[in-house]
Amino acid sequence: MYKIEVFMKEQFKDGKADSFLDDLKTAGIDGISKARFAALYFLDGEIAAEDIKKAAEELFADKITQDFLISTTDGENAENKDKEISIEIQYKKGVTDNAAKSALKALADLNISGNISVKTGRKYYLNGGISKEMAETIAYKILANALIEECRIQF
Amino acid sequence: MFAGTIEFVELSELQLLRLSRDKVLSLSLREMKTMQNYFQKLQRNPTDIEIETTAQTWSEHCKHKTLMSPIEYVFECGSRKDKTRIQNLLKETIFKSAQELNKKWCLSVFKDNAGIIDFDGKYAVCFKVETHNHPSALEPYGGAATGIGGVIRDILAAGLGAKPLANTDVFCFGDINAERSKIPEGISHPRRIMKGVVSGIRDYGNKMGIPTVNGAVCFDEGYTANPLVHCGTMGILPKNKIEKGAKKGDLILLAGGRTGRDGIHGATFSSIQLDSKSDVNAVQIGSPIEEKKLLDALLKARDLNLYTSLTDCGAGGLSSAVGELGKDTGVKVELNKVPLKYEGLEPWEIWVSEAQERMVFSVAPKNRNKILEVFKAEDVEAVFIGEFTDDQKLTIFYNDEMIAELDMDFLHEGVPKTLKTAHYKEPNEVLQKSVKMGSSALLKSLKKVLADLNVCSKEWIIRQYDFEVQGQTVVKPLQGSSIEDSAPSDAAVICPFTVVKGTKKGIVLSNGINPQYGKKNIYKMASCAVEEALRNAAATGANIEKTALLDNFCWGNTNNPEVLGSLVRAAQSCYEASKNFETPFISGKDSLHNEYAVNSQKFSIPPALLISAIGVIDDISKTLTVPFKESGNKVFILGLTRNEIGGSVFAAMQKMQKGIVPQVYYKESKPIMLSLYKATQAGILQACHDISGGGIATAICEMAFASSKGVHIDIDAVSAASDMTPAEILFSESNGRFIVEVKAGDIKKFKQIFTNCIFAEIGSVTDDNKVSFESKKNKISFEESNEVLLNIWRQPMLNV
Repeated sequence: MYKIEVFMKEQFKDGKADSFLDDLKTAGIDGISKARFAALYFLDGEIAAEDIKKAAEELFADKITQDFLISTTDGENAENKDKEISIEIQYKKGVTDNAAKSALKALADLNISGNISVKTGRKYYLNGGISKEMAETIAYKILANALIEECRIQF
Repeated sequence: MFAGTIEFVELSELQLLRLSRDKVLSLSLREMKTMQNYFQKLQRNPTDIEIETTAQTWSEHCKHKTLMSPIEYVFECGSRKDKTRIQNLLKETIFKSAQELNKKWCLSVFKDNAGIIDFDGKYAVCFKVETHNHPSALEPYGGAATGIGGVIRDILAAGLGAKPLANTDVFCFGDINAERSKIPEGISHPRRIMKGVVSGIRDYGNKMGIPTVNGAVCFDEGYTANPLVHCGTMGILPKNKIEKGAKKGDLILLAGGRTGRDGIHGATFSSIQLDSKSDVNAVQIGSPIEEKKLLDALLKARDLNLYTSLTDCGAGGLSSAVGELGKDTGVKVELNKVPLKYEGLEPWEIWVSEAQERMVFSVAPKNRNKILEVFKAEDVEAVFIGEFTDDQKLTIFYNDEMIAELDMDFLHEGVPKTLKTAHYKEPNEVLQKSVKMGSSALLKSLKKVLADLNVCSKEWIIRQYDFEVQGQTVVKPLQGSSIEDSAPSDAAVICPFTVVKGTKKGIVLSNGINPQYGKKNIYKMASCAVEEALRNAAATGANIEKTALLDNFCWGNTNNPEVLGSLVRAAQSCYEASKNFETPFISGKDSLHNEYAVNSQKFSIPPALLISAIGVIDDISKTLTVPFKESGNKVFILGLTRNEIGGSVFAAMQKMQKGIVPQVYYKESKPIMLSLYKATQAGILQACHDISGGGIATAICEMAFASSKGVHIDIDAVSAASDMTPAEILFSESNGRFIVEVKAGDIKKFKQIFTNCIFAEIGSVTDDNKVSFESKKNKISFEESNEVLLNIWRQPMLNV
């Protein structure tokens, strides 16, 4: 399975991360100095590596404002150099994933079809000294809804 | 013959109750026994799908059991106690006024998915407001999104299908500034709920290309665990597309999204208390893109006359939709033909799933291929899943095996009526001690009132919504001389010129809601809500003689006689208000189990009645807005100011327990609203704003800071019913009042039009950009710059 992460380029405003930092502030949670947001796309099935790159370039990331990163899942994240904490959020099994459905259609428009499955998710990279318990509070009280989503926290 | 039957006919009472609970059927013992009796007569056990279908059809959500059942009502006032028997609360109050008023321009009242009124003789407009409280408490974003998605489908299914023109939204949340430690465990912070709800409405409404143009937000601690989310949609359709009906032999077409486990038990679930273990399957996820495609295909098929009837799949899913369409004929359904999101669904799950963006049509066999082509062209999946019969039965097959056979009569009329008891004690209101304040205390109070969450600017919400898309929004939700200077509008006006070419007519949408009054006097709360909705419409230029009303009751647990008593009293108040204003109710919805348990302690919401109004106006150029227009113009107040501080924003701020809650004086209000319409038509009013939460002081400030004009007000000139202090005059929330701006040259004409009404000249518009109030009698004088006041009003919700 491939994972595509899409980030805002450094010079552009990362609105989702800013709004998350605002939420932390109103919740009275200190200790996070910086945050980055990434949209996640998990692609699995009959899909070639070059098609993954094409999909990331043409479909998932905006060439002007965004960068992307492709990895095979379950591996450690290559970008994790600043001792960042990451919280990855995905829908629980069975919850309708509309963006994934649209992505499949768009892939077909790019002539990438076959037996492919897509899942979407989102990920927040946090810089700062917080405890594991605090990371969990942030994941479930601020970011995700435990009813329909599950989180993976990398510490 | 029947696959998957379950032991039922032999069950004991205890076992029946356990079954109802375990399967989340939300049925009482009496209802379970009625069902058992039916199957005993048939001499067989039911299948799971038969039990689910019955529970769903009999749910409070679909059958409105409380409002339709007999009620033993005790009304207590002082030492008097009256006992009456109400056979059917809705029919004896809300429906009754519509019947008695019998307005010819009301084309469909309480029978279709939305209320429908005449627009211009050729077209009709329809309006529906729904609540989506329970799903929004669990998943604010998804709950609100599917709420607006659902009410849009109600409009798509009004008559043979209407084109949605505008959305409305009214919310009640807990205190968004509450400390986290004060929020019960397992409940999201009100701020988080609000952000989720607003983004849900935004993402669905904006993506559908429907402007969100009118709304309100109320904040009260009582809504912390149980927020209220009302979503409304207004649409337009040709008058000759109102009548619909499935015929024997018609095919059942299911179109739109695929079916999954989403929202299973939503209909029965809405009748149970929420707790932190509530079911994940009850959460639905909406897809506006899917619904937009469905909308486009549906309107095309409507114009080609390709179907005879339709309805949306809302609460109860296919069970409710197909059952409703085939109620008078009978239906035969092949469930295995329903397209699924994934494998592994039980037949009963397919039948009651509340997966979104689905609609059901009845199609004459000759149009079979044509309608499929229309849907295919819009890339909407559409599949025939059965046909309409004439055997008055619901028959369901799965892979050629019969899995259900129920009599329509049992399903739709079989629910036993339970006698409920209701008790209402008329509260005793006491006038507060005279409120004396000096100039600086008054200014300080004014600033505190402007910064109150229930008064302050809701710009943060409004600007997230696209209120301009479709290009037909004439009077917008925010008004002012620049983007920074904005005041709230009283109502929205839409001119549907893209549908009705060349029309000058417009549709006015407004609302009224104030749960604070209900805490003191439920009867007055209901009439105030009706009056406020009409007042808002009238302040924008609507003719209340061509305005209709919608009701949304959100109440606590009506098994409690006191709670039900307050509901009865509110419904009676609605009837009286509707009759007195001669404005009929055309549609409504109730949500009656808004109760939440935390650590076995029960929280019930403060009752909330939302009244929405829809009116048609002849000329959109004759509408009014809030900001003052020109210095030198005179400022008038229409209506009488009474010492009515009870339940007001000011009273809450001062922590005052006493005070009289505003009453509606129909004989004063109605002539003022009618004269206001005349004056609007004569073109002699420059600006108009209704007086509501925060009283005269707030209304004046909003008119001033949106215009960058100043205003000087003489408090002594306000016509008051009794001897009142300046604080009482400025902050009383008496009904039936408006502030209007008139040019000096028009005053003579103005006085002629309002000759039978109470009014007074209270000041003039200035060019010094300041709001100033003066009472020589009380030696009071205070002023503040527009900029300061505007910022105080904007600040509380500027960055949420």
